[in-house]
Amino acid sequence: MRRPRSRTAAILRKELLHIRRDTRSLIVAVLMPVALLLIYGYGVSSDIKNIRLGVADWSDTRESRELIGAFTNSGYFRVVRRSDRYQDLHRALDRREIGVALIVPTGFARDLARGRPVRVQMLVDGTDPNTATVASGYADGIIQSRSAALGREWAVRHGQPFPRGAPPIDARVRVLYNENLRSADFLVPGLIAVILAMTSALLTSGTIAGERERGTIEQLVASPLRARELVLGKIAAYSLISFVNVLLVVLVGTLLFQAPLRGSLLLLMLASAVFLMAALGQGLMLSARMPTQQTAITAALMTTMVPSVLLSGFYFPISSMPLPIQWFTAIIPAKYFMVITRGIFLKGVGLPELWPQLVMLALYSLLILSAGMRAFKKTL
Amino acid sequence: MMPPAIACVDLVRRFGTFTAVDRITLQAHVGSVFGFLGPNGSGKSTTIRMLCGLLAPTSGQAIVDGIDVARDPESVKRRIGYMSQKFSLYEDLTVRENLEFYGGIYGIGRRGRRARIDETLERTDLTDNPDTLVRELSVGVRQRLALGGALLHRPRILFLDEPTSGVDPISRRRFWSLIHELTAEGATILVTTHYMDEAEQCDRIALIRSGKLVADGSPADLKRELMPWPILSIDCANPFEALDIIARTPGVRDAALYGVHIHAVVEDTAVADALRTALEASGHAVYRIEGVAATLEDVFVAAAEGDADA
Ligand SMILES: Nc1ncnc2c1ncn2[C@@H]1O[C@H](COP(=O)(O)OP(=O)(O)OP(=O)(O)O)[C@@H](O)[C@H]1O
Ligand SMILES: [Mg+2]
Repeated sequence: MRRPRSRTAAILRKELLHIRRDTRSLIVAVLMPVALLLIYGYGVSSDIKNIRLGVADWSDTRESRELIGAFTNSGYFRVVRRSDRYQDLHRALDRREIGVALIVPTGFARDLARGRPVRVQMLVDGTDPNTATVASGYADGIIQSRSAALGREWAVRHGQPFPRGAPPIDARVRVLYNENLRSADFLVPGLIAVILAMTSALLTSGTIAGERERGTIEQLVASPLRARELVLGKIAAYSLISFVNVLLVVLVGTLLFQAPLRGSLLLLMLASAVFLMAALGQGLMLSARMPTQQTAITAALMTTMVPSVLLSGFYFPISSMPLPIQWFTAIIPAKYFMVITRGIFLKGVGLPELWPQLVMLALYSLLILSAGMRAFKKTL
Repeated sequence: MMPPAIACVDLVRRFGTFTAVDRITLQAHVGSVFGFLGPNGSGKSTTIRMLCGLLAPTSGQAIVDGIDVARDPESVKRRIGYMSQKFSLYEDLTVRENLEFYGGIYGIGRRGRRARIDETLERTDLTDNPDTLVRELSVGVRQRLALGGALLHRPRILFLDEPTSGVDPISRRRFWSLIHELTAEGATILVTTHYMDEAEQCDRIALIRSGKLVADGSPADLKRELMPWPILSIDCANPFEALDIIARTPGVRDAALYGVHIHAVVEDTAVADALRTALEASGHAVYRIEGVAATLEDVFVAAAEGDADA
């Protein structure tokens, strides 16, 4: 019974030769995921300037004006609206006329003078998570440095530190519309899932359709080769590239973007392997069904890029989607993989928490691979 | 008597409303070369694909090596070698790598494969360039490689679909000597071709047109059956103009240019005198007129035109 295995091995070897001979495509295949991660990753953490600030200065004192001045002098904020009414600012945030609202309470200067910490309220528009992350970071920094300066002033004047060891200003940042703000930390593990979904399906989508276009499929169909052997051989070859991709994006994600990898690397690799089967299988299935290489590649892009970006929970939380769409996301493998990558990276959780996702991915892989085998007909 | 290696009965294949193969029945005996001839689009490749289990027939039955193709196409695929009309090896692989791949998918174990490949390279005269990328090979060498791929697992039955198209005459001759060598070893070969010299070398020929079988038999049979009229070969000045005069001469059934000569199918060799008179009267010098044996080309031209009215 070693003949079938030798046929699968023959396909594997032949595909590896194709891959090796086509150096340019190989380089693209290996570098594209990393390039995507770099482009997107830097997009996430890039400097954002001129954030529109709305201000309600209920204190209206030298101290409060100094605080607001610290915001504008930083170069990151530009005051575009002033109002005494909280409601006005909230509405401006709703309409996206401002990105951040700063509310200085009535007793700001008075409390500070008495050595009591004061609370400053900030509202941040969270609909654009990247801007929101950066904006709250800046605002936090500005308030802290202002607070530290006030603390030093107090110490000089009173000969003792600000009472109770508390910082003079306590910033209360509230992010609207996106409660658990996504930071770059949060984005990188998700991005890894999205990028792998796209690029892996792309890798295999051209292969069977390509053989059909070149006419080499006829000779395969005329041979005793089975569909299963063809599919497994091709998947095995391309999973090698995909696995290099996994290692590279994880490396770049952790070293360059400093996404924390709190959980098990081994589990991450295992889950990636299972996910790759699904993604590569999807490409291969499309390749067997579509008449030309071009349509197969387009179909692979359409069926991976859009769902894995929009419907996987990458950008928009699935729980906030309309119910029918929530159901629909169940058939998107990137959704499960995203839970796994985020779980392993951010929470450091392991198999006890992630097995349901892993099982779903494994099921999906099996289904899609057998669909691929059925799609490749042994007749013309 | 041994059962035929390849047989089909009333084989039909439709594509939509178009009938590409229309009730073809034929038999190829073990150890013979079976020539399959017909104009472009007449259904040769479609028939071969059905015989090889690549295409399901609309109706009819095909039996190859005793196996009903429709019932067990995969068993048939293991036993036959197939060389498709369109070159279908991998151009970015070398000669040896392509053969290695074939060895693999035909389940030749790794141990025996190497020797088998060397033997095949030898047979197909490819020992000079086993490590050349196929992309860089000439058409003739590619066709030999494709044949090598089809031979590698030592099938007893081979289907070769226009294996020599685009190949120079010397390579064609070498190709055919290999075909004869294989049949001498007991292989059965079904081959399509547009070359008459190749058709002459077949043990049996089937001629099809528009999907229908027009004639079937040995080259000698076909000449006898399809060409009951004598043929005159005429060598004269200005053969192109003379053709018209000859065709209009009473007693001439058909006339066609045949190289620099004209072949006239006549009712009686005595027409030769009338032809000479007619040609000379119109100022065409006649160098020679003689009776010749019918060639297959005469037969096919006659068959193609004869049946065109039917
Ligand atoms: N898959 C298909 N779908 C529709 N029509 C087809 C298909 N395959 C073949 N045909 C048609 O069937 C007819 C016979 O084609 P086939 O390739 O068998 O001819 P052939 O005798 O091999 O011709 P050639 O000498 O050009 O190779 C042609 O008219 C062709 O267009
Ligand atoms: Mg053909």
